[in-house]
Amino acid sequence: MDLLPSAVKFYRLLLLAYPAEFRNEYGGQMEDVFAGRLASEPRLRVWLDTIADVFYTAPREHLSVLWGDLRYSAKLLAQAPSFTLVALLTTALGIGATTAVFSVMNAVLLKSLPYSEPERLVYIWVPIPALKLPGGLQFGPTAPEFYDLEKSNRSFERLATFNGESYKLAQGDGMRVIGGVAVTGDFFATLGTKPELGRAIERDDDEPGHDNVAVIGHTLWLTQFGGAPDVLGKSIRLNRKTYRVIGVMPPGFAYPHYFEASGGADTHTPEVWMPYAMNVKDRADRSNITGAVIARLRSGVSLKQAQTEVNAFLAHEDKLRPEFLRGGHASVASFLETAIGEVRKLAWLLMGAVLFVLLIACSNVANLLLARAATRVNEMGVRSALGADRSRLIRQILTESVSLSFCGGLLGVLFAFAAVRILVLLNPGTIPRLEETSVNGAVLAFALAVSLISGILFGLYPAFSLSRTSLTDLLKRTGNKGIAGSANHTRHALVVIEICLSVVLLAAAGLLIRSFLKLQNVNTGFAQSTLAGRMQLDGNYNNDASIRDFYRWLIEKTRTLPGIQQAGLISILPLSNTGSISLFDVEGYANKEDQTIENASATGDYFRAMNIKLLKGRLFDNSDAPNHPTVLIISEACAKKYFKGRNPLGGRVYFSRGTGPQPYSTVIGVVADVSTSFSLEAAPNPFMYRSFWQSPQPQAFLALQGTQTTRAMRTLGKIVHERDSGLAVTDVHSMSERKSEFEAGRRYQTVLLSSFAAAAFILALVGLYGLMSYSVRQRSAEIGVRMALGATRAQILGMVMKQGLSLTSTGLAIGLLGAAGVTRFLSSMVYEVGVLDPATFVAVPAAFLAVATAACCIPGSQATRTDPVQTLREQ
Amino acid sequence: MEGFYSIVSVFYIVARYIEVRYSWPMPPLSEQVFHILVALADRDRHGYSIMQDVAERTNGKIRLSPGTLYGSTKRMLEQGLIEELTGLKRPDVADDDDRRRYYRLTPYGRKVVRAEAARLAEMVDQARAYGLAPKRG
Repeated sequence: MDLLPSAVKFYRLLLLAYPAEFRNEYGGQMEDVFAGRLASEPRLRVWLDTIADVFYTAPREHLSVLWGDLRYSAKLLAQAPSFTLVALLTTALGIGATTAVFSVMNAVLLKSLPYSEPERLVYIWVPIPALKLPGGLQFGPTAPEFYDLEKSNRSFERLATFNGESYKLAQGDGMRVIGGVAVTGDFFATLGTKPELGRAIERDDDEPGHDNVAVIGHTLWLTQFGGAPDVLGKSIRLNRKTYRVIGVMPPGFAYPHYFEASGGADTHTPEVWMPYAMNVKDRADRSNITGAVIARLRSGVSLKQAQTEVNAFLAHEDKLRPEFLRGGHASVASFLETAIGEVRKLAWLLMGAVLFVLLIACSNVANLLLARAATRVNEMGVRSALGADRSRLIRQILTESVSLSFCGGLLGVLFAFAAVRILVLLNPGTIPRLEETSVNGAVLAFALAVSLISGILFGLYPAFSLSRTSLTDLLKRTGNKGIAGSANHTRHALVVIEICLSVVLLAAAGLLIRSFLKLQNVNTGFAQSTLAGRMQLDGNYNNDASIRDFYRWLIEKTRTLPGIQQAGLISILPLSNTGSISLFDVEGYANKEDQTIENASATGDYFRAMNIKLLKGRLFDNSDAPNHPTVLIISEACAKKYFKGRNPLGGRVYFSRGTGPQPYSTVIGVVADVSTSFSLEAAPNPFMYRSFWQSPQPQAFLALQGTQTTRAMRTLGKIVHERDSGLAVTDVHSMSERKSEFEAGRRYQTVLLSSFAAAAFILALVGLYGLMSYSVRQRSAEIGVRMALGATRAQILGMVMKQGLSLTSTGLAIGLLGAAGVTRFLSSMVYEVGVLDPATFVAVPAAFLAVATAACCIPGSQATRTDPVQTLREQ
Repeated sequence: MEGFYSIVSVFYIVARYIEVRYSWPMPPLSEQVFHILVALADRDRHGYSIMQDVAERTNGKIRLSPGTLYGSTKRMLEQGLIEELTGLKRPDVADDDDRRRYYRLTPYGRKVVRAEAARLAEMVDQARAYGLAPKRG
């Protein structure tokens, strides 16, 4: 039979689908059988049968080979338990950390937002040049501009505006403060979200008189109504007003987050949405500025086109604004960028750091495999002699490394579950949707992919290296243990790379640690132990007299409580995310048009309660009564800027709101600067304090100093509620807690990056120690000969240390260069520290060198204990 | 000593009982493996001959493709159901090709295929009793 027609040649190509071993064993016979069938049966039928046969049997043969390799790998790993344990733990650490960080990225960046087509959502901002708001807050258009734009635009399907506030929710006999948002009728339609129960707020609800409806959040539905399915139509009482529940939002809906809402809500997550219900007068008031406007672009309209239309519209409207609100240029900003832009930077920083850790872990395992490969030369040589070709050996070794990495990956996923819980627990509150982080299907798929890639990565070089062993090599090695020991350049290179990567991470972590320590040591200007709680009087207190009466009563009650040494009031507390600005002029200063200053109303005892130092003049006292000349206390920064070179005491300040100047206020005192309300890191701005009794405000913080402030605040809360059931003392925190909250974001990124840097440091040192131990064992014959020829222990130790420290120094040098390049990307994340901070760039290599020296000493001292006689006998 | 032997004997009897009573039965053979073993029950053959014999015996209903034939052959060799004939064991036939590899049914393989045939026959008898299979003759 002619066994080589062209069809058989084509069949030979199909045989390439089978494992090489199977093909070499049975390929010839398979061709015979195929040729035989082709000669005796219809060709089409034979081809169809054969192709189906290849599709079915080739994968089965590959699986059979894989199964055999897996069983062999398991047997080998079980025979070397310490190697297996170290490799598994190292792999688990790398894969687990990477998976945990990916799960954060998935929840915060990658998972789709709970809005329809979020890429079509935009914000419309209209800044007011004259009013530089602290804390980076922005304005929306004025109310008339919003309603006119809604009617006349071509770029947007829908627009909505909203305003976040605190609401006092009546609960039984007590009250709880919750976050809430007043929204216009198209709010939910603009976002493209629907309640899970009932309906959303609509345009008809957004009218005065029809606005006693509310949509509640899922958590409020569970806590307030026990998750009852008949919640629709039930009532809740907020700020003395009764609302009927018309809808319940699904879990996870929490828009806007506190940093996206204006109005200074003191809780982060909104739990209730109700109609804005702006009356006709407010809608027409051209000085009524909206907090934020969100819009949905029409299909096919780009951001740029929308920007052009809004610019043209507002250029016309600007002329109708009061003078002090003019001159701003509108911006149409992507919703997605606003929501996740800042977080993206942190997420990528963490991902980069954890990938470094993974690379170091893979290098360590590769080093372990290379060391172990030296003991398997015989096995590979024999396999090669028995006919296994190189690809077969590579396949087997890669199967071992991938199965090792999969087992490490399984452990790593368990580690990731725990790590994710810790990451969520440490939530600083500034990362949206962090609480939704979980190890879900997408994260598990990622862990699987990382395990596969890691296994290939750290197995590839050992596989190629070991598979080169031939029978000749095997025979050459017999009787020759390699007296001098061959320098394993690859292993050395891997350790140097590990040291480089860990130095980069350590330098970055060092910068963040230094920044965080600087932040912790910021002089806030006030006592950390002062306790402050917030009071917000509502419409029942609609004149200065009633406000004054209430707060006088409160202060008197406070003074009767035991353990209170000082009690004072202020309308804007430092680090409270509340603010107030006024237009003003200073007599004798080259005032700019429409200049503004942050200010607050305070009692004299406030400064004592907060331990704010009086630098000049006096504090407010009883002589500063309502019908007396108005007085001011200014901050040190204010004195330096507006009263430079002259005594500020007696200076005159005029406050105006563009409708005519009020009587001037006289400066009576200068106090030390304190942290701003919105930032711990920003330098204190010029600040002015008015007398609270001369300028009472409905919102005030009560500041207490003493030995029983917590109990006193609790008692005051009850007393206030008894006097007026619509009032409550909320947001009760010590000043140190408020400071800690502002440090939370920076603390979070510092703790995470430092954890990764510590892991990388430990792994790199373990790698260095492992390499030095192996090197000493490899060179035992050489060391034995040297000692026999008279080398001292010190010389032997020096020889080992020299090798270890030269590797360390090389890694440090390259790592520091790398760190200098990488840390420049951290410039926006450091505080009061340069990206090439000398202290960090000296401390990191010094610490590394010190610990590396200790790591090299151990194998070095083991080398000095070598018995030359024993060693030479073993040769 | 007698007591020791008695204890060992009792232990052996109990162990054998458990093995026989509770041991897993041999799983059924696949159709292709059964027919390959039947082909080898007749005489020693090479792969192409096995393929021809199976096709003839089943009137062309079962045509073994090369992948199925040699994949099964490899597994049967590993399980000890068949053995390859090498060197002097190779049959002395005319027009032999050195590339051909001959296989023989082992005693264990013969036992297995007999057990499988008996199992299939029992199943057919049961089906016949219920009128589901044609009667003999």
